[in-house]
Amino acid sequence: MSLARPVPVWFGPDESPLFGVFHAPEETTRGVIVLCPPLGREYTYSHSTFVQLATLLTTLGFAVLRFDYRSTGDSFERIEGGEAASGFERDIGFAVEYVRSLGTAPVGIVGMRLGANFASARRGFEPVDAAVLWDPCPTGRSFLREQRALGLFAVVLKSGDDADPLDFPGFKLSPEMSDEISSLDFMESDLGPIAKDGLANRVLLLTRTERVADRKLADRFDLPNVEHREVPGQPKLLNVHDDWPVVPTEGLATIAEWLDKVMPRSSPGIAVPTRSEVTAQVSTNGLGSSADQGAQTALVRERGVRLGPGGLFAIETEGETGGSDPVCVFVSVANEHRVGPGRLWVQLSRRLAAEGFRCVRFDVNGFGDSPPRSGGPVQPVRSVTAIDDVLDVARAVSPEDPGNVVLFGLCSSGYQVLEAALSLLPRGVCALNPSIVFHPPEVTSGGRMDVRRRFCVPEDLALAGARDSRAVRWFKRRLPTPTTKVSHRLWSVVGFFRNGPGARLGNLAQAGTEVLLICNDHEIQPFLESGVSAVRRPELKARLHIEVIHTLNHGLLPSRDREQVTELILDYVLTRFRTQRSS
Amino acid sequence: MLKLGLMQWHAREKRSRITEEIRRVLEEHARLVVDVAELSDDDDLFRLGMTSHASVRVMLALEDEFGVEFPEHMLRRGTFESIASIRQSITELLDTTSGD
Repeated sequence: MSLARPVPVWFGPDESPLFGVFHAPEETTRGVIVLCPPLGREYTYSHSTFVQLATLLTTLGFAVLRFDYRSTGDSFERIEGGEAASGFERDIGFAVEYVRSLGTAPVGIVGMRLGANFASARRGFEPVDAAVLWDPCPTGRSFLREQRALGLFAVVLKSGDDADPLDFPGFKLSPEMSDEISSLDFMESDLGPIAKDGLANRVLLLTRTERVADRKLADRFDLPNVEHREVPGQPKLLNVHDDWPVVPTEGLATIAEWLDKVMPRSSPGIAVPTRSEVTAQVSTNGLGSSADQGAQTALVRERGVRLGPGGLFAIETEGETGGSDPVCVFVSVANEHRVGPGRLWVQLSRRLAAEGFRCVRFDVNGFGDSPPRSGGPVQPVRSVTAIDDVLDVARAVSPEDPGNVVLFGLCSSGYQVLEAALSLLPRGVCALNPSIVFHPPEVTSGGRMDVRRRFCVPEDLALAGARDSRAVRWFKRRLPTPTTKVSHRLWSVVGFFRNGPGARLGNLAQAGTEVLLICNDHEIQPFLESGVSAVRRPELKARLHIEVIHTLNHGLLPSRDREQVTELILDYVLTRFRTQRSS
Repeated sequence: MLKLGLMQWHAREKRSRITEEIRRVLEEHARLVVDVAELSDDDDLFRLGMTSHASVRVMLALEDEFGVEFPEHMLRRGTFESIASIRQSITELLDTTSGD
């Protein structure tokens, strides 16, 4: 395996740079492979697959560029209507141009799902040596309908007159983006550009084994320079809702083996890029493009950094003139990488940097671009080590006073920032829908709960049993309202004396931490039932802000939920910390 | 009387053809835990193992098969929860299309 650490890079148009990660092999480079990701939730699900593919290809002597299209991931926003508005297809052109600017090595492309469709248009670049079209979408329109229907069937999105048809689970498109995607069509359009001397000398088409539409697609690709194979694993990678995506190892091996076979072996090598910093314009009165109508703009600087003893990967964002304290620290969510739900961490970082705050978004160990802790599992699920990661990052970004930070997290990372806050006593902590009721992995494997877990409520707590006892159920049936009120009050008092999560929030407020808890009806319950309403002293209540949004989606998949949360967070940070700083 | 009888016969034929096609699509795309042939028209497909992803595949296949497009207001679980509910939606869409 390659030990060389990947290098963050920015390239493309100055007004909206694209973010990429460059993986170099340890010894000579025989070629560069550009990896073109899917879009939307598929982009998020396949992130770790692309990291693993990049690592695998470096062992074969290839350099690899992973990148994000504009307005996705860590890239800057696409400027609609400007010269840079030529879209996702053109972004692949920027990536190919960029790797060609590093040397004269042969170039290959791997595109998954819409990434394959975008690459096939070959917009803005000369033909490459080899291309892999991995599970392409038959048409762009079918992709959009699929994503929209998934959101509606899973009741994540709302239908009706006020529904936004460009809102998809975890991503929202502009009309221009939607038009661009809708125009993609492998079933009817001329596939001439993919034939020899078009996209690439050699093309590998990988389709799913189980899908009827893919058989029709394979028939359409019956071209002299195209090889077709079926690969398993895509459903377990992409068709996940409540499950975790599984990396399709057989697919990775097929691609690596094919590229090894078809890409030229000799090469004069390339220069490994070193640019790990970028300055670009962002909007300061919205979260979209700086070219939005009426948008005020500011310059922000971003750079890739490695933090703490574990070398956790982070992107630091600050204003043109630098950023001041407290540092806003955004923690990656669950098994995803650092961009946050629907890129919320990226957009908040840039918005707050424009207001003068220094912001850092990072991958917890074993996820995104952060290595696992030595000796630990590759992908720790709710591992206690993620709490240590938050502490390490706070110490790294604010070494003089590690508490001079505001921590942000959602779901599992919402839980992690609360736990870290109890040790750190930071200036602020913002937990969105924190998952605090679960079985810790150390308990599941037969051990005792780690002492660092003070917010965690194991699912089999005796209280839960008592709450569901026959006596309580009997009262609930006959006197529902009084029973619920008495029950909440009772569990609140019990929880307070047991020092439950609600009481712990009170402890944080007492220590001077500004707490912002944003939850839906369901996720607020363990706090309500464990002493949070027992926090009555006015000075503590002033530091404990609890916002319950009844219909808030757990993962903030609808854009409306992200917008609501954004307003609350901006208000919290700007009123609580900007005032303190200037005074 | 004869005309009425013929119309009823046509309606029954159409209904039976639609049901047959729906069952074929379900067999290919729904990934149910039971044999599609054993399903009654009112069985809950989601309870029988159809996931959100599978229901989207069913939707796209039905659109291909019948040459219709489910409008946004029909994109909900209720539309795809049983053979009967799917048939009702398809019939409605086909009637709208032929009425145009």
